[in-house]
Amino acid sequence: MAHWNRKVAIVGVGQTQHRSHSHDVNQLEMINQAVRAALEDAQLSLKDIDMNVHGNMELFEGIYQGDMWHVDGYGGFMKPGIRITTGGTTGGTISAAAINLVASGCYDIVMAIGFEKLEEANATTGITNFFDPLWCRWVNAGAINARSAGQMIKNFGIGVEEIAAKLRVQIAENAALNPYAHLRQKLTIEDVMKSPYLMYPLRFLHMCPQSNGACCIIYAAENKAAKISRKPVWIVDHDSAHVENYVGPDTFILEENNEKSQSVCARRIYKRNGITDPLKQIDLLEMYDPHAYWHLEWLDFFLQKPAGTSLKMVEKGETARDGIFPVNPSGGVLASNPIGASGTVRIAEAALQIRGDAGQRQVTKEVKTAVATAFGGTMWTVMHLLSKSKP
Amino acid sequence: MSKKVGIVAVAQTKYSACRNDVRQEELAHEVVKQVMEQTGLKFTEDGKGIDSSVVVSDDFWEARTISDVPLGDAAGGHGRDTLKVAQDGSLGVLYSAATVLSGHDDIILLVGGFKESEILSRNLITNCGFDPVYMRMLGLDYLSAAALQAKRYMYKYGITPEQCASVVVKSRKNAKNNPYALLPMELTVGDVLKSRMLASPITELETYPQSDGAVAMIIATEEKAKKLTDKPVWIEGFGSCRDAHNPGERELSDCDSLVDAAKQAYKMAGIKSAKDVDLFEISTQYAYQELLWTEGLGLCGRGEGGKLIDSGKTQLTGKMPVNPSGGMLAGVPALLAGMTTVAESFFQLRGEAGKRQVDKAKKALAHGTVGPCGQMHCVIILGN
Amino acid sequence: MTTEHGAPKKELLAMDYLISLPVRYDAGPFMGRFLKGLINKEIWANKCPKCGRISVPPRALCGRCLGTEMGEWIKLGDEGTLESFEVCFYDFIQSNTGQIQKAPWVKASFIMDHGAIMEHYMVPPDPTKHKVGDHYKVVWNENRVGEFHDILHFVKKEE
Repeated sequence: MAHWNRKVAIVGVGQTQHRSHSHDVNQLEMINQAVRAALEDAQLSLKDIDMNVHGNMELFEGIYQGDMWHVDGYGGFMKPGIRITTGGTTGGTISAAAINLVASGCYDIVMAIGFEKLEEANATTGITNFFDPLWCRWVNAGAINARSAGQMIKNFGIGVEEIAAKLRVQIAENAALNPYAHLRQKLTIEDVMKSPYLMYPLRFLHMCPQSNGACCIIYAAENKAAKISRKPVWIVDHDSAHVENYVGPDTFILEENNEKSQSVCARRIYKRNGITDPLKQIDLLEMYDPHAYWHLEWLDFFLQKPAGTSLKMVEKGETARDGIFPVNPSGGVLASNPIGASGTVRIAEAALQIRGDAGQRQVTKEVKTAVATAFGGTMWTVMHLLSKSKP
Repeated sequence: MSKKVGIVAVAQTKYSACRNDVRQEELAHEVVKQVMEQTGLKFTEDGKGIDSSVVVSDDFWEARTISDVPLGDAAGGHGRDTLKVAQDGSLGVLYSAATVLSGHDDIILLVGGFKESEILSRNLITNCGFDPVYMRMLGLDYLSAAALQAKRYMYKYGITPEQCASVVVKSRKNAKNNPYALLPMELTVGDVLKSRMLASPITELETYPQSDGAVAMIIATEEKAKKLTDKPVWIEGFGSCRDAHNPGERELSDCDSLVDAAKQAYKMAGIKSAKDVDLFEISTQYAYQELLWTEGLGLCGRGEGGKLIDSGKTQLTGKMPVNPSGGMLAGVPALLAGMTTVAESFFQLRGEAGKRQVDKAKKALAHGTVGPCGQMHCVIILGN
Repeated sequence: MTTEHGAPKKELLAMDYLISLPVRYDAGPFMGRFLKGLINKEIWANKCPKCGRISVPPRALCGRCLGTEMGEWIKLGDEGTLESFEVCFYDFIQSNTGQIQKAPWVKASFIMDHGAIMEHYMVPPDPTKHKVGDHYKVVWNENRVGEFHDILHFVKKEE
């Protein structure tokens, strides 16, 4: 639908440095770091915030109704709020919710806060717990799913392995310039090709890490946005595509022509917003990419291009920071995965790029329109379309 | 509110102690099917049907990470925009109403299906609601935390155990008029006080019973609501508020977050106070909470909750009927409690509440609560 | 413990927990009939009346058809062809039991009768011994109680 009641913009973003060990903070304190950073960025104080939307995967950290305990961490005391948890898409869904709440006219400034403290969790067990307890839970291990990787190699040949490795090296170069990223060490193609298998043909270095991190975005209504921020980043639209319950591997297919949720969601949001040629009309993509093969597969979906296009683009370096279509200049999820925050980080990073505030990881071309995606659940997708100019 | 949002259809299952004949998504399907039949709506992307779905579920209660995965099938989620609210169902109603107002969607299906019978220890779950390093080690859970609040409240204002027990008597008696209710029953104050003590002063009969059930509703813009039903029920105001978390950081005989949530809702609805409302469906997990929440909502002054119930004004035939449906103490699925209060308000405002009908009801207040000792409240004002 | 400059490192505290919640999952009429069938070495699936997809294990609703109630029950044989497989090389805690599920083990999908795809374990956990398209059959547990492990695993069918 989306005939917006009023327009919404991002006026502040903040994130923690995503790490595997954050022994110096508990969950509240970690959230607090991101919230303070966002308030600082927006030059606002807590009293300006009308509502908080909180999200994480509570069965990971084992805290029931986490927004209750964390209330002091995000400054929600005596404020309205809601809590949303939708797996890996949480970061995208809380943003979508915050946007809707502001657009409704009932709240002018809403804060979305996503986080995960994965060192306080057993992520693989937590994720395995999402499968049907009576059947699928016994025979699935966490989120490591190599099926797409196998299919890509089958369709495009063994050369795909080296392109996936090249992609990972490019991501590492991006992440090295991102002070917030978790995995920042530079890699070579040989490093990647020699890393051990997790699930054939998926190797250890193809896969995202498990990170602790929090990310906070402050959304404001159009009448306030321009007063708060010199560089508001406008929300053009958001959408999501859910997928059915997992009962077997044929679950992830949406349409008869083997479409996946990325493609369905992209098509819908582009159609609604007059995007007929994503490669030309969108300047940057921050994609939630849990592993390198999925990054390659889904890039084709988000660009609405035939399968295999991404392979050529990555080979030619077209998705690098100085490429014609930069993807994940932040390092993406491959470099940092604080699950509940990852979707929010994508939006925050895209916003920084639009603002020109991404420091050393700023891409070469001017970014006027960006797409940020989130992924999770049974292969769901959430997409946000952001713009420098007011829609 | 400049624009209106309406509820056009509601379906509830009859609440049951144990629906082991179905899985969670099958339970949700029962009510989704009904609201879709009532309205004739289908899941479409052309703006002529249901635009998106909101699911109410909680990973701990369903013992399943990303618990909206199975419910998504019943909510027509595949390939479509689906969201989940992981708190009491009243927040689901609040969020759905806000989303309709935002313009992102015109018609939303809101559904929750919950089987507390699958949870063999409610207290172990709520114990996990406290911080793992200190409070959890005390063995505190929401029941014992509530007991602390009850004790404090009763001490400060001289509320008697008999007054708390009267809440249960009223609740179970009202439930006799409610075909959905789980445990309609004639009880005396003595019965309630003699039942097994769980955490002093809260007895077993003063604790919300375990219940399975599902609720679905269709929420739409004013224009579409008027086409879908000739008796839309308008969501006129809503508010939510979170208090401090640790019971020790609060004055437990107060419910500041409820006062604030109610204030937000009354302001949005353009009403001055509880006096403008004809009936109150409020979520009371433990008997004393009805007395405390009635103070927070402004049905009476501070400390007067006990006097209020003694006065009879909150009985079905009284001036301010509270929980004519029986409410949580007669058994509603815990996670959906706030949503059932909205559902009951819907039936009341359409004159479809049968024997529990409040005469000439024009405005209703629905309410949900989250967290220990009512840390968070959500208040919704509805009108016809 | 000291830092490289010789000053004592502060020790931050952490606590280890194993959270265990007792739960009883209901099988419902669809999964229930399927699990019961395993006791008699029967593998049941059901079919969506709209899109024709055959689901094993069976389900109440076809998610793809937006909540359409599934229809006809179909009994499948206990053999299939290998559709795909993944060998898992890491141990993890199985959330159903709290015990370690030890690697290596193989998750495999098989195309059963009528094109229905079923997941289960496969042995041996050696990727070189299996080829997509080969024929496999169920090895039944001698002690069947109506549960996932009534099937031990699939093995390659001796031709």
